[in-house]
Amino acid sequence: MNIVRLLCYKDFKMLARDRSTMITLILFPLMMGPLGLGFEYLMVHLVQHQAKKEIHIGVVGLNHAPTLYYLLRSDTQLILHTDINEADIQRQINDKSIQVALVIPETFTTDTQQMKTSTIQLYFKTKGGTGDLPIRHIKQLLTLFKGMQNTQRLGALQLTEAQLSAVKIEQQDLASKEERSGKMAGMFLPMLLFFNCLFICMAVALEMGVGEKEKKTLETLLSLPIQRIKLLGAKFIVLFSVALWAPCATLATIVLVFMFPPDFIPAHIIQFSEPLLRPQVIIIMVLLMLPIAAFFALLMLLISLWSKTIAQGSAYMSLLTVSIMSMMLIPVIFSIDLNGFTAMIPVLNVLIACREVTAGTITALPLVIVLLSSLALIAATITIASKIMLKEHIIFAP
Amino acid sequence: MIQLQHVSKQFKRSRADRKKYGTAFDDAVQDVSFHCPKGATLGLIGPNGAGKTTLLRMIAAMMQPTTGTISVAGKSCATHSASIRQQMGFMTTNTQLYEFLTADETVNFYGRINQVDESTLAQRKDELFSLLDIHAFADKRLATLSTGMKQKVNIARTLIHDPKILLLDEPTTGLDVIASRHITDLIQHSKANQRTVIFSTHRFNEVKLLCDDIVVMNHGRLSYHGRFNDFERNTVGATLEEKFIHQLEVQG
Repeated sequence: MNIVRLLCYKDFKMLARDRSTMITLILFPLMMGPLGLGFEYLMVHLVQHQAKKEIHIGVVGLNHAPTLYYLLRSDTQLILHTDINEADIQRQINDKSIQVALVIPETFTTDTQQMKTSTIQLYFKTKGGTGDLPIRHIKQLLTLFKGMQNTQRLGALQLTEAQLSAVKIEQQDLASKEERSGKMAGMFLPMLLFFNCLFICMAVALEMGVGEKEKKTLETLLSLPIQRIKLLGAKFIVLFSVALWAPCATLATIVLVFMFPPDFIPAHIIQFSEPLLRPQVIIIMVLLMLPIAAFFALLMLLISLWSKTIAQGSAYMSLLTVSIMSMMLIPVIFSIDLNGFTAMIPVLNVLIACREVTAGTITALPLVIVLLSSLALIAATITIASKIMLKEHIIFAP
Repeated sequence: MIQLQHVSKQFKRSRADRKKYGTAFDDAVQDVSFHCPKGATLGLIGPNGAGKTTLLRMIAAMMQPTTGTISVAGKSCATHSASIRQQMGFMTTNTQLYEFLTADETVNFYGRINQVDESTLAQRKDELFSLLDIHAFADKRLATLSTGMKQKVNIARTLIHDPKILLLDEPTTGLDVIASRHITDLIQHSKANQRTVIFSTHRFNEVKLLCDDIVVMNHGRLSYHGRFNDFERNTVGATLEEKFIHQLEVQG
């Protein structure tokens, strides 16, 4: 049997029998779709729950603004607390007996009559996330009230809204709906795929490189009639396979989830995912994942072989993963386009290309440059890895 | 069979070690020459850091000497490393095996890597499993076996391709009496089968029991090479340990 095939077979068999690695390898990418679904379900459920939940609102001076009083009273979600005084608001919000408080000035009615601006104080404590939904609800009510008051005042002055609005700006976004949602989807999906690829590579590479060094099984392999380049090749094949499996499985589960979306997924999320269901997008995404999986596999193998201990290896790999993940934020923050220059920046080019692919704006030339520059990067990494494999003080260390 | 001529090995020191030792290179082995005839059992003894492991790795064609030549059966290790490795069985201190493979799969793997054909592999495996009492746990994963059982599998995988030369780097270090016994049995069995054996050890009872020739190494240099009986007869000291220490002191 061919030596490389024998070595690959041994490593695959070991991987298949290592329960913890298998759980990471299979469950981690496959759970991405269902996990995303679960998260979405939780979000929708939480928002719905919050929307139905009673909101305790303290109001001081409600008798000064009868219109607002009727507006608040007609909202069945609100529980009005009118027996509070202004000095007590902070304590009551802190001890959660009320969530929001309004203070209406005594002069509200006269100010309104005299066409003056009257100030209503709104007290709340920002919680973040769905915790701020009650505040948003009250703000919407106040905006409605403000609109009503303004309309009333305009009526008294015998004016229309158009008379007060000298300029109207109409916005025309020339990006198609598909392009916009594609850019959004293409911004976050590659990050998820890259992360999975890196994470799986890290888990497997540690055992295959420095793990074998620590256990001295690598030394035994080196004492056999095997060329080191073949040994490296076999390890690369195994690692590349799992590195490619991770993003492909993740992509497959996400595509499946959106092909058959459950009822609770909001329409805007389904629209956001539409570009991912186009076959040409899936094919080009997988094509772009090939060089990335090869590069990450080689990089992690290289670090693993170079490290003296598993602890050292995992420290370097974690640092690298964090650096790559941080780098991935660059095109998100600065909205970098794919051009002749950016198409040659390793890793980043694939990330931007993925976004262009989902947006449907990629052209053949930048795609070819991305693939060619990625191949050049892989060739350089293979050269370094094969040189490391020949360095006795590295391979036999510690 | 195995010929070493003026073999030296230098390792480039790390930056930290360069500051510590004041030199850029570590002379792990310096100008070592000796010959080990076919069928002989040679004991490699010396304190820790004497260069025994590096020397064994160079003989096993896993490392190349910085200067000097090593030849095995007339072939240079520099130019025929793969074919030389095929003639050798190499076992090191605390060699671990692949825990997720069974004993049977482990021996098959090493046999196939050594290009043993399938029928010979099956026959030799059966012989070795009988000799070492492995049949009873052949289908069990190595993770579930005791140290002694693993040691037996290790011996079987070392011998599966019927190597002409055995290189054992401190094979009994850290083993209990019973597991050590498997190793000494292996060496005696190899001796009886006219295999050339070179093994490093710190145990003088093993040297006395097994060795025809010995090589004493100290600080990377050859301190003594000759027949074990001559060493025992001619070196000052009441016990083997004393003789060994005396030998190291003579070299300074």
